[in-house]
Amino acid sequence: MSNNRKKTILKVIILGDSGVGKTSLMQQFINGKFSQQYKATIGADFLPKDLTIDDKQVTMQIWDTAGQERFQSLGVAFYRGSDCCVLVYDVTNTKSFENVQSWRDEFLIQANIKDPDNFPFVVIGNKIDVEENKRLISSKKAQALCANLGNLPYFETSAKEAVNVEQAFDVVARNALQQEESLEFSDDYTDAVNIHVDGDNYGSCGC
Amino acid sequence: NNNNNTIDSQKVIGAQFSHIDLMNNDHSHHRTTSPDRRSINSNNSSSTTPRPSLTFTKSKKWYGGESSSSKNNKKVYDDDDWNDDIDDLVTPISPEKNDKDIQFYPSIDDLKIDDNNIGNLEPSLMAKNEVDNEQEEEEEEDTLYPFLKPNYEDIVRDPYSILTTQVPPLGDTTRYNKIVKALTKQPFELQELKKQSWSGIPNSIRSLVWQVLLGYVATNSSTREQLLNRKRKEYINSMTQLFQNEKDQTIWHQITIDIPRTSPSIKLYSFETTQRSLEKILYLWAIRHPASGYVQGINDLCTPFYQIFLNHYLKDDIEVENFDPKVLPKELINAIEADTYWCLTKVLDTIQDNYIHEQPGIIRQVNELRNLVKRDEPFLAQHFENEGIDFIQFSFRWMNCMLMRELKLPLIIRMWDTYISNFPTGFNQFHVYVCCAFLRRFSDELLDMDFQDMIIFLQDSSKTNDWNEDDVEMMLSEAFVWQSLYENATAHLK
Repeated sequence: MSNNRKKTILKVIILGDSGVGKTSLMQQFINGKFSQQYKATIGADFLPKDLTIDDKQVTMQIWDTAGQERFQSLGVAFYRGSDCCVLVYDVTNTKSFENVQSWRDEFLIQANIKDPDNFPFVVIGNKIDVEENKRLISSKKAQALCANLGNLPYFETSAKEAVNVEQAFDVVARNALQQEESLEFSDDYTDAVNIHVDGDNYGSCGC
Repeated sequence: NNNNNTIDSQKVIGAQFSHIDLMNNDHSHHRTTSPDRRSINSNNSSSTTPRPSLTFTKSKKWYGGESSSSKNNKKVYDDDDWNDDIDDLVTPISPEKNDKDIQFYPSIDDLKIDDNNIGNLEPSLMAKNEVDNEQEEEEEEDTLYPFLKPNYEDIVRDPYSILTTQVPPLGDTTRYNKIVKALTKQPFELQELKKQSWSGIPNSIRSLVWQVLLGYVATNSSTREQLLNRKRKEYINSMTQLFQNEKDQTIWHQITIDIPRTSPSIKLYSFETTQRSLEKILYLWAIRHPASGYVQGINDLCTPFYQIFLNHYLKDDIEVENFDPKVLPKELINAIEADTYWCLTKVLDTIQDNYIHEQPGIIRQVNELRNLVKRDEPFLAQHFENEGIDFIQFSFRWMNCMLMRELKLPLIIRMWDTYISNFPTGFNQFHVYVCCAFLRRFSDELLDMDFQDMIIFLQDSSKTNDWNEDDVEMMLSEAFVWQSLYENATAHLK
């Protein structure tokens, strides 16, 4: 049945504070290049990439968003229908790390995610190419946060030197695909889900 | 006002400024004759160091009281804000206090504009040795600043001076002559200047015309220098005051990471001096407008002013886009910064709801664009809907950055001739019609595309790489026609 369908589209959104390297990560992943000359993103930029995941052809559509807080009210327009959300911080910027959780919470609210516990996030600590003494967030600290937020996959990358970018986006793609397929499933069997929920309620009332 | 005009009619407009104008004491009817002005003069006569005797009072407007009034009444807020320099300036402080304060200024250099200007305007009050050296210094300056127009000092003092030495552009001089005529017409008619400038302003007089159209440079020659001097002085004083206080880290961080990302493809913006200037301008604006603060994109809006005002002083064969302002005299940089700051403020005042919480101005403009497209290009609107494209996905940036991300800077500057001629509605109402005309230009291509290709195409700025001024003018004319049409239609419905 699924072979007859249109090519699967995976919608991915990249969030994080201004200047952590969201645009650079996306450019490195899609075009394999790095530039110091990116202008600040306004609203959100869009780039697609065709991928093959375990023999399945998919198109990943990435929305690279603006990091400034003022633009957050725009979220709804860009967050809706996402299959995976990438949370980026800068390992040399403590504030950007502390904001990872609020970016996640903001996303869950604005995207109106039905099942927040199972929605796929991937956390990326970028700019690991800097000298060791400039780094302010240790791997350990970051891993602890990710464990806390529900065992989120965590990658440390350098968009500048193309370190770990492929690997991170491979997990993004796989998790997005899984999410997309689970949504299709639940769309097809909406009734079944409802019955399940009703049953639970009935059970708790019986106590 | 009549009084002013009478005085004016006896002067040759555009003639080189005469020191006598400033020494003329009959200014009692102008707002510039506030206590601070007199206190400067009295300070000067008693001391050989003409320091500015003004300071900022910590009025509630300055420190954020404005935000309370801004939400409900934008108009009041804007006017309030634009005029608040007057409130701040009319509070003179004693010379003793001023001297003390100066010790704590981070950079005494920042204050030098005043020494210089006042020194030049009132040579009799300058220290003796400075007077003796004046002749020599002027000669040196010629060789020190070979890239500046020979009369740049006159132009700094009175931007109208550009008309006295300016050679009309080669080729068709009709437009140039018409604009100059409108600029110097007595009594001055703003509508006439707007009309003549709408179709584009020759680069040689663009800076002056923009400043006049925005109401920053006075057309009245008897007050022009004083007002301008006062605005620049206020800028310097504000700046000094501002950097004495602890910085707002959130705003400062955002500005400092955006400065290197501002017009990175143009060399001018990669130079240290340019970057420090823009940084100061943006930070001062943000602190003085707490309801919005600094919002990304405002940095883009700063660049046309900075570049055009800088260009004003450069000889015709100097390319402003590659010019490093490091070599400029400090007081000239200060003047360019101050003029940029005030003109940017004028424009942002008309679009301030673009940058406040939830950006209601932009949301409104995007909705207006959607409605226009539905009426003008119903097929395209339907196609967008079928493909699941929301206008906000591509036009948010058009509004937030005034199409500056979609067109190259020289074309934006041409566009601003028209926007500024439409001031104060050019940057809000008219801009929506321009965006509509812009979108219509690509209607045929878009109709053949699916969601993904459309978003990529709309976001890709290279589609206008081959555009020239004719393309922009066509877009502006089309926007004008649609605006006239719809404005009449709405009036009819009322």
